Amino acid sequence: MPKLKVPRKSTSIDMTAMCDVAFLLLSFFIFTAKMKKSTEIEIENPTSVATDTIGIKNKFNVTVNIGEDGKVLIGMDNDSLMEDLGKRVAAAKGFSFTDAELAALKKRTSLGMDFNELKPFFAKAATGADMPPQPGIPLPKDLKTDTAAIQLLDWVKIAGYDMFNAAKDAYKDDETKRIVETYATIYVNADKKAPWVVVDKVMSIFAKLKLDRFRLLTTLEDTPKGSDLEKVREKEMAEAIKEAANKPAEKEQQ
Amino acid sequence: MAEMDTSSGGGHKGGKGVKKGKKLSTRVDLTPMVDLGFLLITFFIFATTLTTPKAAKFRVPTDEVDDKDKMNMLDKAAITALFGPDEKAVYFYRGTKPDDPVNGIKLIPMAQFRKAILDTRKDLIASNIPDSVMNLSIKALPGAKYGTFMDVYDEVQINVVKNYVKVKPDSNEVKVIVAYNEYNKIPALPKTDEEAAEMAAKKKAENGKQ
Repeated sequence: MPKLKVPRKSTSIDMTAMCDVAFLLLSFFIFTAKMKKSTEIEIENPTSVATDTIGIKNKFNVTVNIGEDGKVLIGMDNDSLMEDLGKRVAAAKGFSFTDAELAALKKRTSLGMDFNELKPFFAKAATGADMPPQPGIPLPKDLKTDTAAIQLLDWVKIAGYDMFNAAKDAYKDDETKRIVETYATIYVNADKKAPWVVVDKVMSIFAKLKLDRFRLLTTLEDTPKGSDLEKVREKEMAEAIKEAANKPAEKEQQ
Repeated sequence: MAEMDTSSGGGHKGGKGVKKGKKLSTRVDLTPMVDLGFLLITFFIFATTLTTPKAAKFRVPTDEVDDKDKMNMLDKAAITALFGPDEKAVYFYRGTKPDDPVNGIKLIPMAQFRKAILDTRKDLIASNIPDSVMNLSIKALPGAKYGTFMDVYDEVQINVVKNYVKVKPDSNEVKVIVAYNEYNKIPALPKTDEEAAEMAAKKKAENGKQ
């Protein structure tokens, strides 16, 4: 009887392909990951069950940052928008920035100070000096009596209305291809320890501008089991799945 | 799994004293590299999903809300939550009379706030009123923090309360709360925001000393 030979297989596997895939994925994630923008102030958002994602590309976003100490700063998505905001504010308040000052302003992700302080602040920043943190946009003590001193109103108007309307063509509503909003998407990015008075004042200023809908930035928290919200979300999900299942069938019929 | 290929290594048999150049394998063990790669991938996946902020929709009335509006509201369908410096509790009452002996202002822990909303809803359905008319007024007392507001607003989202409004507390409510706190021996709340800020600064200084 011939000897049965069991072929000996090597236990070593070629890892090259796996390695390639791993690093391809790795580089993909690194490139697509959005770096957390360094803000002027540290803000820790409160938790919430809200699940709306932010930073959709074809939306014009304006962020109102409120720090733990109640400092209010206004921020835009990128440096060219920041530059535009600086230019427009300067024009509205009757002064202008030099190129060097604008270059210093562009590096900031948000602005927050008295209109009168803007020019001297960035004139000094343009020389490369170490700047103190921005003092925040001053808020009036009483919104009803100090109507003239509401600077935030001008900021939001310029950033959320003037700039948004100037750029409207680029931010068309995707489905209808026409503009439906009067205001940009406004985000309130407040620290969970921020005094409510300040947040309330900011919201009241929005209300004065007839800007009644905005978004509050939060970090995700689990939806409680058995709550109404869970039921609503399950229903929405089921409907979305149904719709997705029906769509190809419709196409075939056509 | 993969291992170092050593087959071409130690060949001592051949050669009559002639030194042969060692034939080194060109194959490298990639296992640790793959391990590292996937470790980094997992890290990036977790890190990116965790720091993405989410947005909660919120709306405010553009005109000053009068108490007259409240009068028009169904007495049963109105609920009010007042939050102060205490992050873990809210003052809650049903109806339009904060000093009502049964439904009047009570200090309840935040954890029971959801039950209070759901109980109201049950009552409304039991008395044949659609629960969609339920109206929650969110009011802030001096010294309140934004995080507490978010906790209250979260209950609005969790219980899908359709009507909510952010308003300032009226003087009657403030009076009732002061009386309630006195009666139940709860430390008095700051009367103004300035006082609240002073109290918070004092507390901070005390904590710093210890």
